[in-house]
Amino acid sequence: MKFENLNDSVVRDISKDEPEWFVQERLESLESFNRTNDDSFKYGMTMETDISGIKISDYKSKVNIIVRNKDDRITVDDFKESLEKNPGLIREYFMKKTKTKTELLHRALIQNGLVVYAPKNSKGGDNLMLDYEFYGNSFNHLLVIADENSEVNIIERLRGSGVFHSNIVEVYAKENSKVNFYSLQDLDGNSGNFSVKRGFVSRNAECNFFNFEFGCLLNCSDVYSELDEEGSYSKVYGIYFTDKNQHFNLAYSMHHKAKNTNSNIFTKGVLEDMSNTIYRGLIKIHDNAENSNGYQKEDTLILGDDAKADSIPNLEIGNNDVKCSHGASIGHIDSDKLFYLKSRGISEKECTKLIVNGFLGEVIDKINNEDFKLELKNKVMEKVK
Amino acid sequence: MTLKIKDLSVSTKDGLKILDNISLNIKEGEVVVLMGPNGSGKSTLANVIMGNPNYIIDSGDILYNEERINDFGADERARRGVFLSFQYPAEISGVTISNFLRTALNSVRGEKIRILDFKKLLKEKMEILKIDEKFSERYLNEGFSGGEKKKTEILQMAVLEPKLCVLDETDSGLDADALRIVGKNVTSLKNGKRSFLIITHYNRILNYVKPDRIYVMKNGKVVKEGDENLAFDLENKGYENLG
Repeated sequence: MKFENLNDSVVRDISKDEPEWFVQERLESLESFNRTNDDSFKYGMTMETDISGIKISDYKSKVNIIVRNKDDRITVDDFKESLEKNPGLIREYFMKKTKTKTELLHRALIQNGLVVYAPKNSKGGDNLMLDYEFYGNSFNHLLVIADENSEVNIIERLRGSGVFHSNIVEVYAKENSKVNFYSLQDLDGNSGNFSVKRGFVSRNAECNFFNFEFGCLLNCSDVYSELDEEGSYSKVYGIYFTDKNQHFNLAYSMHHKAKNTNSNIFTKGVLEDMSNTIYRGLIKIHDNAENSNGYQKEDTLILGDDAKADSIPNLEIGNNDVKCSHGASIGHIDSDKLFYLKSRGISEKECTKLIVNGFLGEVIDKINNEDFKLELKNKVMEKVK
Repeated sequence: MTLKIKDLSVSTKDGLKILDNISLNIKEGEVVVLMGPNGSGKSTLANVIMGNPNYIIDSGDILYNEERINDFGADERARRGVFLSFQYPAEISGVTISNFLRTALNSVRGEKIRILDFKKLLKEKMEILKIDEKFSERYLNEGFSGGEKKKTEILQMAVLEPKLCVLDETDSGLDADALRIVGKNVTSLKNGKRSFLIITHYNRILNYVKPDRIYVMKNGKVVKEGDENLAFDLENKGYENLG
């Protein structure tokens, strides 16, 4: 990745009227960014996401955000406004841990975003709908804090164009809270997207990511849950569907940092044409996380003759008293199944649709919003050749 | 409808010859039974009639209503009225019986049936076959017992109303009650025009369906042709002395 004309004045320019402490944080991030080596997207001999062609010179974020919130207990504030009027949550929670060079860049250049706060005991509200329409590059952030004993369901949809998008979501699920985060990435076919989702899960809380990835030319998606306190739970249900010359790099991981924690990663991928994907799943059990369980399963269906899928499920276990399992399957449509369906008069294309629909349905059917479910199914049908 | 199989020889993709010069006729409205020991090629013949791409026709013809269907895909054959009740139906996860059968019915009829009309039709057929209504929302054959799979095949046949019904050992693995239900159903589908090819090991389904003719296969060939009595002969004497 090449970043042209990126210097302090770019940061100063986008941070006018912001409190000085935040501007300083931005500048420090930029300095760290300049000192940090490029992120590596190479795993083993042949597995690599090639980012050398990405060149960025426009750092102005261009996005329209439409918020639909029917629950008046939950506050949804513009990031910049929060910074001016009520920076408490941002000070306390915004990007406390940065891992990569891209994240440091994001921290220096964030320009759009939302801060969502669900107060204690706010339960049973309607879904919060967030629609992002991009018309250029973006540095876009979503900070979600679900306070004790609250429940939040968020559906976000990313659409539009732009060569470089940095989209970061941070979810703090406090004690006894529950967050379901549904995300549909449906950006234009020439876009580049670097998205990170982080969940920090407190005692007896639950944080779930449902990730549906369809768009972009290059899509790097990192979903990371940290089970920080006893009794916490997280799951990641992922679907991706690539075609043409799309490349996806997906990393879904669970980090068990306390005892009695549970996690589940369940991913389904479909590849058409000459698209290719790298999927990495990780369950990491820290040494103090006794009596914890982690499961991951990844199934890939390859439809395109020239498509290529790499899948690396990983376990890192630092404690003996745990249960972990992982499984992965990669295959084409079974010819016996195809013949069976065809023998009932259904054309090959319709059979493929049925099989793909069924394959992905195992995940899509778990969504509790009928409109969103239908939207995803239509999106899948649109992509089946 | 009529089916004429003329001098049909078939190999597997690996070049293994498995059907050798088979000829067989089914006239309009007839019930024809195909018997023979394991591995004689009965199931292969059923699959070749349906158009399974795993088998290659080396020579001969399949004429369905006088039309040569050798090169037709399975879906085209089904739309013309051919139906195969599979011996081992595939399991399709994530696809409900209801969704699958509606798609199939729309394809076979060439027009979309209204959802409510379809639900009514499905319910009616399920009641006749004594299949629990909840089954319609289960994934096709996934986790079904052998008997449930066979009943589901017959349900598909009842809904799709094909013109040629090929039943590949639909009677095996069924208990007496299920066999009676399936047998009655096949009988009720007889209408003077619809034809049946029933592949079986046993005579017991013949208690419900009276055959017009019986063919016996052995080692990929048709070795004997006869009437109903042939079945009872075979039961007593076995296949040893044939061919």
